[in-house]
Parts: sequence; C-alpha cells; structure tokens
Amino acid sequence: MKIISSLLAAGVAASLAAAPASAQDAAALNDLEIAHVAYVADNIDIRYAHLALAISTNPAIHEFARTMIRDHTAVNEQALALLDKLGAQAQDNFLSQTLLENADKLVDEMAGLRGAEFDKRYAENELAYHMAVNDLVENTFIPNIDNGEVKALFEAGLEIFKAHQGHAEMMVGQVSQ
Amino acid sequence: MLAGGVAAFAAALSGRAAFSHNGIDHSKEGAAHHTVTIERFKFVPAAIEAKPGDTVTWTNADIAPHTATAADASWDTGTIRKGEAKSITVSAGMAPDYFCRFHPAMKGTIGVHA
Repeated sequence: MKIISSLLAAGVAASLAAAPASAQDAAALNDLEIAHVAYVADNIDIRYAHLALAISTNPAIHEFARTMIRDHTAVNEQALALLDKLGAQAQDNFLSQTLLENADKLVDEMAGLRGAEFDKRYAENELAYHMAVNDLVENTFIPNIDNGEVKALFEAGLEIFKAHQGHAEMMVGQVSQ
Repeated sequence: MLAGGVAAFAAALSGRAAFSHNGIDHSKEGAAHHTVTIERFKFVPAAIEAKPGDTVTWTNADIAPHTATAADASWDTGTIRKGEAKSITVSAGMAPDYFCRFHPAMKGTIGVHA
C-alpha cells in the first residue's frame, strides 16, 4: 500500500503543478486520506445524533439517533483496529476539512431549532447526508481504494450506511406527517 | 451463545452425533436447535419453523450491533454485537414476528407449531 500511496501522492503533486483545481479531487485521495474522511464523516453523524438526543423529545428520533451513535461508533472501532493492524495512521485532507466546516454550520443552524421543526430538519439532513456520503463511498472511494482490507471495510460500511439511508427515509416520512 | 453451547455439549456427552440440516441441529430428543445468521442487515433465513422447547440462536456477522425483538416486545435477545450469538427458547403461543430494534426494516418470523 505504501508504494501505491507514494505513487498516488506523486500523482497528486504532478496534477497540483499542472492544474491546482484537480488536487481538490476526492478521487485523488489515497487510502489513508479516504480513511480519514470516513472517520470524520462517522464522527459528524455521531455529533448530529448527540444534538438530536439533547434537543428532540420525539422517541422515534431518539431511537434513530442512538442507532447512529451505536453503528458509527462500531464502524470507527473497526477502522481504527484495521489502521492499527496495518501500522498506518489516517491522514487529514481537504475533504475532511470541508466536511467539518459544513457540519459546524449545520450544527449551529439545527441548535436553534426546537420541537417538530428540529425533528424535520434532523431527519431530512440525515437522509441527505447519508445519500451524499453513500454516493461518495460507492462511486468514488471504493473504486479508488488500493488495500483489499480497507476496501472490504468500506463495503461493509456502505451496507450499514445504506440501511441508515432507508431508515432516515422512514423518519422523514414520519416527522412530515 | 450459552444455550447453543449447552445444546452442543449435551449432544457430545450423550454420544449422539448432532446433525444439521438447513440450520437445524436435532441435538436431543424432540428439541431442535435453529440457527439464524444476521448478515448484511438481513436475518438468514428470515422465516423458520419451530416447536415449543426448541432453541433459536442468532449470530451477528455484521459490524453493526443488532437485536432480535418480538414485534409486540414480548421477547428480546438484547444487543448482539459483531461475532456474538444469543439464543431464546421457543414457547407455545409466543409472538412469531420479530425485527431488529436498532434497524426496524430488518424483519423475521418464527412459525411455532406444537
């Protein structure tokens, strides 16, 4: 993986010189950067869930939020265990930073909402967020991951996040009634 | 896991080889042991037929924790983490429909026949 990562890093450097915009491309991230994005994305959803537990009084929202915390924590534990086994560390990158900046804004916005308004916003964001991340994982990350074990973990993760997407869709239906 | 282990141990002790067919171990006289694997957010098999006194064991092959919980909440395995297994004993008149409390789209049934 190290050799391929180095090649990828060289590729990024070359494209940086040729066209700066292409360096900001999710498809150009190496395995350890992809792992970082996934870890950050998991933690962002856990953060949203804690906000929901603090603000919402809807039992269905609470149940969903607890599932998000439980499942994303389980995935992150597997990811950390795999990185540990590979003797590698996730690498911060532009996409992790962008996700965090967007999440900060959204948490600020949602923290100002109460009651049904919050529930609706939270459920809709969970659906939109899982759709966006699943698209990224399925169509950009998985085809570009070099390490077989990392790829397998992402495939298992995608399975979980697709189930969450379906669950979020149900939640949106419930809170919109 | 305990019930499954006990059943297998009992079969070994009695000197009678347990045999498995379609996930069912007839490890002792009359009572059968059914196994359900939880994989890719599905109960496999989703529908089983059992008799009172049989045991059902769910093994979780997913990263995400799951449960097998009666639709009317009358029975519940509790949380089954990755690689863990939990069992229940089938009783007459028990609620047949179950789901995962954490992922309600996951559903299964235990048809109980005396």
